[in-house]
Amino acid sequence: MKPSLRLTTILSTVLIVVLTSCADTLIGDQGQLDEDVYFNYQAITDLELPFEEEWYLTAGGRTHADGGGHFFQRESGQRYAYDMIKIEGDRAATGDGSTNEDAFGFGARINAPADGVIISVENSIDDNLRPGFINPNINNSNLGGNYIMIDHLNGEYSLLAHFKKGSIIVAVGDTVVQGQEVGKAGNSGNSTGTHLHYQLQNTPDYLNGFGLPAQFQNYYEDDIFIARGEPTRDQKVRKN
Amino acid sequence: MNIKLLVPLSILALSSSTAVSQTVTDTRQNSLEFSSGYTIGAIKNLSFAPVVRYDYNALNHQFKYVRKTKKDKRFEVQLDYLDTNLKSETIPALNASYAKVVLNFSYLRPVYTKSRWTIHAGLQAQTNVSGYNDWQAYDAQQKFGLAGRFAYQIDQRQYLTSKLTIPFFMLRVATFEDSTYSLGRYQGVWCNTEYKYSLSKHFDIKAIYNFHYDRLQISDAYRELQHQLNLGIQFKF
Repeated sequence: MKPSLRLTTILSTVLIVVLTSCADTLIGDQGQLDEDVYFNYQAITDLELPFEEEWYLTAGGRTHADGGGHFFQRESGQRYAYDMIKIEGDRAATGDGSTNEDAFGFGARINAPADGVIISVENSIDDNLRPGFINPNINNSNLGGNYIMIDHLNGEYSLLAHFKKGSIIVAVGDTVVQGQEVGKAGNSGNSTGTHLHYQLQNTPDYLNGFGLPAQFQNYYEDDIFIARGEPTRDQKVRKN
Repeated sequence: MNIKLLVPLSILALSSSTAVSQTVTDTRQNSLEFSSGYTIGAIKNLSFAPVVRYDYNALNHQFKYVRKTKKDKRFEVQLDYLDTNLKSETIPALNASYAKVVLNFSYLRPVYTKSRWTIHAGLQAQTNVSGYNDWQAYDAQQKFGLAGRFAYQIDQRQYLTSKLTIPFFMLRVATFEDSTYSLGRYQGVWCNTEYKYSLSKHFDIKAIYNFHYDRLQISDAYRELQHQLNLGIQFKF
């Protein structure tokens, strides 16, 4: 073998050996916190469902299937978020459901899920014109529509979103207690129908934080009492 | 296990270049090539799932067209495809299907020629679209890099080439985000090593090793590593 060819072969071999042997280093261990939260996180806050009567989960859970689009939204804290609609029997709306007012949830009472202090409020965004239509003024800055953020004073924060325009009855700085009414459900922001979006996160920033799994206490999940748990997509939930 | 297998196979492919036979001269300007092989990959995409690392194995298929001018400028187009499943032993519930199409364009000019050595330098553009098909999630990336190609003619039938590309820009349009990245937050290395043996005036066979690495240093970390070992046939015209 000629020296130059031998050198080429040796260098190529060394390169391949190096590249194949350092896979762990190249992929790195970033994401350990994500895995730890996935497996072990237990909410510090004692949460209860933030509504009366029976609601149905259209999104919520720890898989892509259950979480839907939320599961991809790590940066905005939505990974473990819930989307819930108010139902009566198996229906979410009366008539043909073509107007916001047809939805049983439109104007339904929304409560604080736990004690805390209101740290941000948006209450002036028009509800979307009708279900299935998002108003053209909705953009990345107002995806949550009308919302409140509650600081639970323990490093956890609750975001409740898509309230009916003008329905929020608390203001920044107010102290709220669990079960206290804070507003009415609506169809504002990035919403294709009346629903409540709820997420627990580790920062006070609107749609910017690390989403946390949220366990609710003392509720019924498909008519089975749960002392503490995480409801998932396609379940019916109620407090009493 | 798979990586351990890859190393000796790669060494074998490269070492086999010591075989000598001299009858065919490579004077053809253009070529079409098809190769197929095995990919061992790993990916981290924290936007997609809270998983430190997914691994995957896949058959991959590549088509390549090369056009050479009389001044030995090279224009290369390469299409790669693989379809597989991402697997994590840590959280199996989040395993997912994964498909990837990669389209490369390279334009290379000769910058050094001496004896059996030829070195080309130029630019490479890579478009890749990855699909997490079960969940209607996609990740489209347009990247640009500087490329260098080193070729060594062992004899009239045999060649060794290695192409190294350092990407410096990425445009990412994905279910997770729409952003651009340059070298501060995006780094990568793409390396292609080939051993070619000429069967006749019109046909060559090839053993190919590809290394592909990309990383985004952002909060929603993204990294992907691929080793590919392919065998291919090339038609020259």
